[in-house]
Amino acid sequence: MANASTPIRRYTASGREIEPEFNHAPTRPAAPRGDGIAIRIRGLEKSFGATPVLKGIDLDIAAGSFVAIVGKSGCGKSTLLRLLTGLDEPSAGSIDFGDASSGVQKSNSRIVFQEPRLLPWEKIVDNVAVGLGGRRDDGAALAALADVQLSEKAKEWPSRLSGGQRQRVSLARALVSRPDFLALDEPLGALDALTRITMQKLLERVWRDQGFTALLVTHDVAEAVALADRVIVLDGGRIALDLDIPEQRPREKGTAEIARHEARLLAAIFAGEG
Amino acid sequence: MTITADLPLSPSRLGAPRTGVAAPWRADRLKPLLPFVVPVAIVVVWQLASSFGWISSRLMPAPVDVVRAFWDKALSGELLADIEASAARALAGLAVGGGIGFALGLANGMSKLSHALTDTTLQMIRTVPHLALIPLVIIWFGIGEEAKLFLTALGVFFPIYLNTSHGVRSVDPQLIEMGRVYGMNRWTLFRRVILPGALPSIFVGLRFSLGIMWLTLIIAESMAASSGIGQMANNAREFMQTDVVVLALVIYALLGKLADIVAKLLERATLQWHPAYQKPAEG
Repeated sequence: MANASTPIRRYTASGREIEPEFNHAPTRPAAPRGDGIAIRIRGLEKSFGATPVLKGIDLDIAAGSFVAIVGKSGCGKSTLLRLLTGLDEPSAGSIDFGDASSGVQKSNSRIVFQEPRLLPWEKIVDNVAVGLGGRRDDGAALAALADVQLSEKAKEWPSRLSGGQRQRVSLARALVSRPDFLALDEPLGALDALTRITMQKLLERVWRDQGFTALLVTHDVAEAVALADRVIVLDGGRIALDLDIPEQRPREKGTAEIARHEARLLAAIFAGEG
Repeated sequence: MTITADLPLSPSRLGAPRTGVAAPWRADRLKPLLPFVVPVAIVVVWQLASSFGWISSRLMPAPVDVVRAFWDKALSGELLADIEASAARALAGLAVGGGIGFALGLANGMSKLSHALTDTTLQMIRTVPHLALIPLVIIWFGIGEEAKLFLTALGVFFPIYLNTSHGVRSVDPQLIEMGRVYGMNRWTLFRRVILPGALPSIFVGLRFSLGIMWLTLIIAESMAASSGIGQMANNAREFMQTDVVVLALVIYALLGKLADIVAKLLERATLQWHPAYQKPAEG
């Protein structure tokens, strides 16, 4: 499986190591990898008033896989994510977590929003501890902060951090409870281009370390192809394309295969237009 | 440390632009004293005017007479007893009115039902100046402590009520959604998200209320009272003791300033997270 390997150092063609900051294994002994959870979606529909937003989605997501959902604004991708995380109720259809063989399970899901949504009046480490759901465990919170390379900011106020750092804190808050399903709602959308690259590498690393099922909603096709095993194009509330990205990890930007995937996705997204 | 040794440090110690190249330390040193120049000048002119007999001491006492009145009253213990009586009334009114305003503000900020049920009524009562109720209050409670407590409580109620409910309703809904998604129960959501988010607004209400608290008390105490600063001023008026009347004014001003300082310190202590209360980030 793509995510079963140990952390790998990444090099450019000239042999230079890329982004050493996120290349190393976590500083603490590797925690036992949680297993991702499988998701089975059948006939999922959602309407807001008389407006249908999702019109019958059937989708199986393998445990521990990384799935990206792309599409134009209003295609229903954020709605799908809100249904999967229980923020909204579906109008029709079903969402089941876990293998049918092992009985229906409840998912321990977490969500990373586009905005960090940190509590400005709590120190960074306490913000991360929000993810523990009332359990006091500063050790776990500090370990999660170490995973996103922000240990030294534990006692700072959120207002003292940069946008990228705040989003890393919100990732740590999501990961501190060791979720089996992580939903990411355009988590890098508000960041500048260079910070996005760093964050993508971080995201890939924690996913490979921890093995959760990841669902990334994004409008950035290049980001989807860089990160996901499988990219789904939503258009008008239906699945327009379901594309496997079988490329080796770590992926190099700008190869012919990557470019071909991106072109196919863009063609599907804009298929309905002249 | 000599002044010359201090020179290289001065720009970083105060953000003030340095005027005058010849003696740059002078502007920095004197800056904190600037706000006091006008009051001191007024007192000096006032004292001179009284000494030269330009102002009749029957109408306006000289500053030294006010200081003497302060000294006499302080020595006899009368002043402390009166300040205690006034402060006790003020704080009791603040506790009752502020407590009710805070509770109703929270309820109406969080519950649509409670807001629909009570907000219009409260807004209607708010348009009546609370001091206009004095005749009615005297009929209800007489001129005793209850009347003063009622008026003060009513006066401080509205700023705290309005700002608390406004503060609660302007808490970022994204943070509330985040709290729900992360499994906070109602109490945790209130304690960790809603209350801290509303706190800056609540403090604004508190500081408004403190001003109204003293104002109401002054009026209520000059109605009739057997103790307190207002009663001290009223008695003095009967005997044309203008120095004591002015002393009462000064005491009110000092008490008001003191209350504001306490509120500011509370604000500073509880709002450390707020960028406005932080030292500028280094680098």
